[in-house]
Amino acid sequence: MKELICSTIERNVVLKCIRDHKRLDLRTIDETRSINIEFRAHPGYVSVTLGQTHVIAQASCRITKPKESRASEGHIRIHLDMSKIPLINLENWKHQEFVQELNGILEQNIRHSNCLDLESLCINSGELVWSIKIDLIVLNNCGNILDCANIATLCSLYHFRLPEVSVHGSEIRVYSSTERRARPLRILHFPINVLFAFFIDGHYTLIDPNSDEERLMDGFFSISMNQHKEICGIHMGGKLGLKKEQVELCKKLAFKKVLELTDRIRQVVTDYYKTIEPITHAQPSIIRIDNDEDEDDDSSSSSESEDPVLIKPEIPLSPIENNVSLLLMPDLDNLSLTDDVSTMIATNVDKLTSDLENDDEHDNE
Amino acid sequence: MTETISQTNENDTSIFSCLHCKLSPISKATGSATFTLNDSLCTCLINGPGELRQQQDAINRLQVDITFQARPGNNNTNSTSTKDKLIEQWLETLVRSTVLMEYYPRSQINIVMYEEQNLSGEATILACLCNTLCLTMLDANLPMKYAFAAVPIVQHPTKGLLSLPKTKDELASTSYFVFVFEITLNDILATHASGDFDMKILEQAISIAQPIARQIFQFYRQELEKRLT
Repeated sequence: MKELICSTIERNVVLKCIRDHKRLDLRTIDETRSINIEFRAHPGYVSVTLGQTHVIAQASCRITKPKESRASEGHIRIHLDMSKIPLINLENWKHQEFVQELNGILEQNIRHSNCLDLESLCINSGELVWSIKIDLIVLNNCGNILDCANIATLCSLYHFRLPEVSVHGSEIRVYSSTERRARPLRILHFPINVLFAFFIDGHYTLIDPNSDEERLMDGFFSISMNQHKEICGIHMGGKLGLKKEQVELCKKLAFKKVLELTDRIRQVVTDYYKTIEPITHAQPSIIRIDNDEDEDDDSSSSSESEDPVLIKPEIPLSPIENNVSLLLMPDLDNLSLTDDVSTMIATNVDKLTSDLENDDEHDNE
Repeated sequence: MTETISQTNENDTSIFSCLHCKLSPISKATGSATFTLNDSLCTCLINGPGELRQQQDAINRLQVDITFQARPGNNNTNSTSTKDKLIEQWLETLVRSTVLMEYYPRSQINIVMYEEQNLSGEATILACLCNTLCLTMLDANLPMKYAFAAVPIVQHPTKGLLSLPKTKDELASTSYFVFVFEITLNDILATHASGDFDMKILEQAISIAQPIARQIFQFYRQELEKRLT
């Protein structure tokens, strides 16, 4: 599958608009498209749309051996998958190169900026650590995959819940989300990426190019900053040469966007967990009387009613939970406690907790 | 008489509350759809008909290429598991029987299916995938012989046969069926079943599933009408 070739007429029209400081979708040169963030019932799964560009992210965890040189640090890995979208630049190798470039920028922004506290991922120093993997899948490419993927990664990391672990000598015990509430990851700061596209020998610049503009740009300049005005990563791609003043201007523009987005990401994830938290955990946290609809997620509302769980139910341990709860010193190949396993366990008990809720629902009906 | 009428009304509304759909969420694809069935959510997109790769050989018909992407992070490698490949093959048979393949010789269509959310077991996700696939093909305006709809039926140990089961019912069930019906004669196109059952239960399940399939077709109609008005 290949993308359509950009015709000369299209090219001329877009470049003419840019010369007049206008854009075809009526945005100003420093306006980004609208961002929509949606979560699903699985922790760490987020679907982000930046205009029409659509990226989904899923975070998962594994228990592994740490590196010898860093015995008490966990790992984080980011994998960007663009295999299902039409080939960019019409050739497979160019497409692959582009994917690798973006993957590298994302890794640099997230891993090298230390946004995630890797020491908090340690279970047993020198022996066992958590290894977090973020899988990003691009569903639709309408320009600026980099920003969209970056937001998706950050939301996914902030949304993800890590199972609780306790160490007893040489054995470790991983608790399912019903025995002990899964804890969030320790995120120290949010490195938000802002992409600038340059045209016509670097004379004109745009923020957040859409697909037409991205095809015609000379090169791009991506700057990753957090809300404390710290630069987490800079990358220049394409055929581009920039002056110092241009870089300073980009920095200023980027900082404004970063502030808005950091607040937005924090807000969205906290809101999601406020509506979900009192219901999915057996321990009652807050007794809520008002019925708040979970506006982000239509599909989960059918299994989680608004009625609070007031009494901790008697939950018999199923055989699956028995096997997973007490883990002996692992054969590391077999020990792969991905997010899915805890979800699997959680669903067994979700069924019991939702038993209570659905009974309440039936009573109310 | 009023009692029976109110009963069917209840059934209608309860089914439509389990189903949600969004057409063309992915603008660059030829056709795409997102479909929700109870707690399962799937997205599917179709690109095509387009050029064949050189290795493939489809002289007088359409080449169908389906990829099913389960939720990432399950396995350590990025390849599809055998279970997912089985699902791909099953869906491919559906597509082959539905699409008029002779209309597009020496071309291929690429179908990608993403499972976004799955809190219940196999039955709902399979049915969700089939329905998403049908809606996507309708959205892409592929010439089809008929539309199809899948209905999941589970056998609960105490409640008997349940159609379109809720999560807790499905997780408690022992066996399940998924029937795919087509719209013209309401005949069965495909089945998938798992568990312990006999012919009588199978026939009962089919008779429960048929009227529900009709309602799902009504739902398709409503969604497409919304798009065209």
